[in-house]
Amino acid sequence: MRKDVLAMKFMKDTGVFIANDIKRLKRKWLSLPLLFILPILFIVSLIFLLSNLVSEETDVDIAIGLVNLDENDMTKTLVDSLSEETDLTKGLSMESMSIEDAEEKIEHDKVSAFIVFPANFAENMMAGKKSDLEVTGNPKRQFESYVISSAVDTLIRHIRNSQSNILTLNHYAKDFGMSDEERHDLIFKEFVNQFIQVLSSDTLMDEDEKSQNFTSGNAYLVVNGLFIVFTVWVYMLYVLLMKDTPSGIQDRMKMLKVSLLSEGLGRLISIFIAIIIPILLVLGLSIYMLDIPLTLDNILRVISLLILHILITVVLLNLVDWLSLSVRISLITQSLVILFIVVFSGSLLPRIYFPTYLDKIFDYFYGYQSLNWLEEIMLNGRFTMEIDVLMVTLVIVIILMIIISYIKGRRFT
Amino acid sequence: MKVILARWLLLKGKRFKLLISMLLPLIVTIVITSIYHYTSDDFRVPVAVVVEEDAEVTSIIEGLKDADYIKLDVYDDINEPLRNLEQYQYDSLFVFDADFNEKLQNNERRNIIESYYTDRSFTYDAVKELIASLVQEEVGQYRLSQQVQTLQEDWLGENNLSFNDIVDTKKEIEEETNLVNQKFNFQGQVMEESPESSLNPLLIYGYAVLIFAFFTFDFVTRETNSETKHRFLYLSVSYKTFMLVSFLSLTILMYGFDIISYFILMDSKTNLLILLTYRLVINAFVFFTAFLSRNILSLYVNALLIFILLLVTQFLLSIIRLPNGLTWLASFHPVEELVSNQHNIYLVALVLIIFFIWLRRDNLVRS
Repeated sequence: MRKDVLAMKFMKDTGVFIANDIKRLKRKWLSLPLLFILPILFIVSLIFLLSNLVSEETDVDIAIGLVNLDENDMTKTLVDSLSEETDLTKGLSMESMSIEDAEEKIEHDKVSAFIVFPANFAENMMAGKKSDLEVTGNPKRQFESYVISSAVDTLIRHIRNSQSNILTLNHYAKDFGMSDEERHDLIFKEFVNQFIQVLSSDTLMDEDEKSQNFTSGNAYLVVNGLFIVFTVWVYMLYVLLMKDTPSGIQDRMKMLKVSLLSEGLGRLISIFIAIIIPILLVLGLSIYMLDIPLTLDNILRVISLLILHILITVVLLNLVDWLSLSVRISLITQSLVILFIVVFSGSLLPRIYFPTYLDKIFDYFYGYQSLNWLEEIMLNGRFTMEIDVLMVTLVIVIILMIIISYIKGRRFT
Repeated sequence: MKVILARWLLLKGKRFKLLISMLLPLIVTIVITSIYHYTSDDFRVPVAVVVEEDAEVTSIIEGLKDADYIKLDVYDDINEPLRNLEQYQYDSLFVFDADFNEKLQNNERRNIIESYYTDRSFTYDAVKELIASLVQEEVGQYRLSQQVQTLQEDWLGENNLSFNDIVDTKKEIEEETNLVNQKFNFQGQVMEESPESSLNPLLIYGYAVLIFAFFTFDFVTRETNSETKHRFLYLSVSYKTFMLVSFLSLTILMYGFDIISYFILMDSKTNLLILLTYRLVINAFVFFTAFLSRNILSLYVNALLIFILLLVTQFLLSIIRLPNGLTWLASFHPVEELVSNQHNIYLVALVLIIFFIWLRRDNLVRS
């Protein structure tokens, strides 16, 4: 056949595959809304969680009970000042109560945890004997209990520090021949003093927040979340379109000289057509809701970054598909690829937190590059982008696609 | 017995794959948890500290370096780290002024450290608390030495103890005595150590069991949609009985793997019975999904959707507290129940009811 006829046939075949894929997608109209809503639901909850963690003003106080079983004045003062002061522990509200009360309140889900100061707590502490603060968490609120446990850790760090100071003071006072009564007095006063200092320790810092003031903190979470959503969408669409072509039909297609490449290209284009509208809708909506100021050329930059990202991802999935021996291997490998993209784009955890030996991956990984430039443009108001890595990756995966389709197509003829 | 033999014969050529897919949950769990343990310690928080000339803060810097979750960079000038912070290269930045020590000695307690963070600082609060406690320690030492010195002056009329002597004595005393500790447990459970947020192998194992159960039971879809099914019309054993026997024998086989995994992976806190009921529930669920799927590929697609759905709902359950009247909803999430070490009573009951109805319907049709 002549070259232009071949090219015509290739395009025609691709067209047939696209039409077929679109038809199959339409037949799955029931699962499509689910497919688009599920990731969004997931991300919304993620953002909800993170924005609560990041922003300091948590509306809901975590309620903690304080139970004092010690008759000692020192412990009494300590517990009283803890329940009065809330500076030390932002977002926690403490209330002293009896042990029966505390247990009942946990049963009725009224407190998240309670801290028990055991009998002879202060005495043991001063004698250097073993003394423990017992924290009992509410099994229904495990997540909060961990927060409390770490707050108690801070509290204990301060108490230990005061404890060792006071023990040292006690040691010297004994050495200098101070009478027992006077010594006890001194130590009691000192303990209270130290503790009050501890409670006001958050005035130590002069805190400044630095940000590029272009967008609010939530926008960062939204952009990262959208990136994950879009990537997962691509994968789910791909999975919906996967099919086991019976070998009889494969043989017939081979006889008609339908190339594997045209099937892959058809898949790429139909996924692109199916996904681009929801992506633009969600993107436009979030830009509008977050009030991100974007000029027209920056909007075009964002769109082209996303297009490149989608294309590379689909081609990668397709390559995995072709190279896998069975559907199950293909599905597992593709899931791992998607996981890799999400993790190493820095969308879950920013790049700076990763170990240094993994740092190099980010420089050459297209997922990180696309997300990074999306952030630079949308969050930091940059007016440039570098798409070298993305372009090179795209060219490489397309060349791989051509080579593999050629090899696979030849193998059985 | 004959039914089991038939099952065995029908799986010819797939037995090895079947065995692998039963073994894989254990392998996957071992691989993932070891990757997690191997790398998780290397994830660090980049923190910058500026120490201006004359500031003596060695012990604070040492304390920060000891914290294994911090990757510390020390500068003597604020410009560079501040610029890096603004480009989100640091989580947070702390500045010790030139007159930091002077302020400490004068018992000043307000704004003696300057700190900077960004809108993307995930761990600022933790680092801040750490530095505050280190500074607090420093403050406490100055205060202690002043007090001891005046005490000596008052009682003995001497003055021969230096700051370092006193700090040394303090360190000795710290080593000799038991300092206060935390004991954490949930009400109704006995657990001696404080909770850790490490990766629970049960979580990984639970999801791996789910995924690979789909691969193990894909023969149900294959056989339900094949010609073989029609032959049962002429046999004394119904197709459903055959499938039920297959289901039970495979589940018992899988229990063997579960018990092995239990001894390799889990600690004494996990209840073996809970793991076994989890397996029963998951197998039944997968079995029916496979029974209802039109072909192998759609079974796998369903598997993927179910997997993602369970993952998402579990995540939601961990952050959103269900309203009081609705907490029972959580007990319908099998993996959540497994991880929180609870018995799946509702789910087991549900499985039994569904099996009963499924078999009963068959009998009605036949009679």
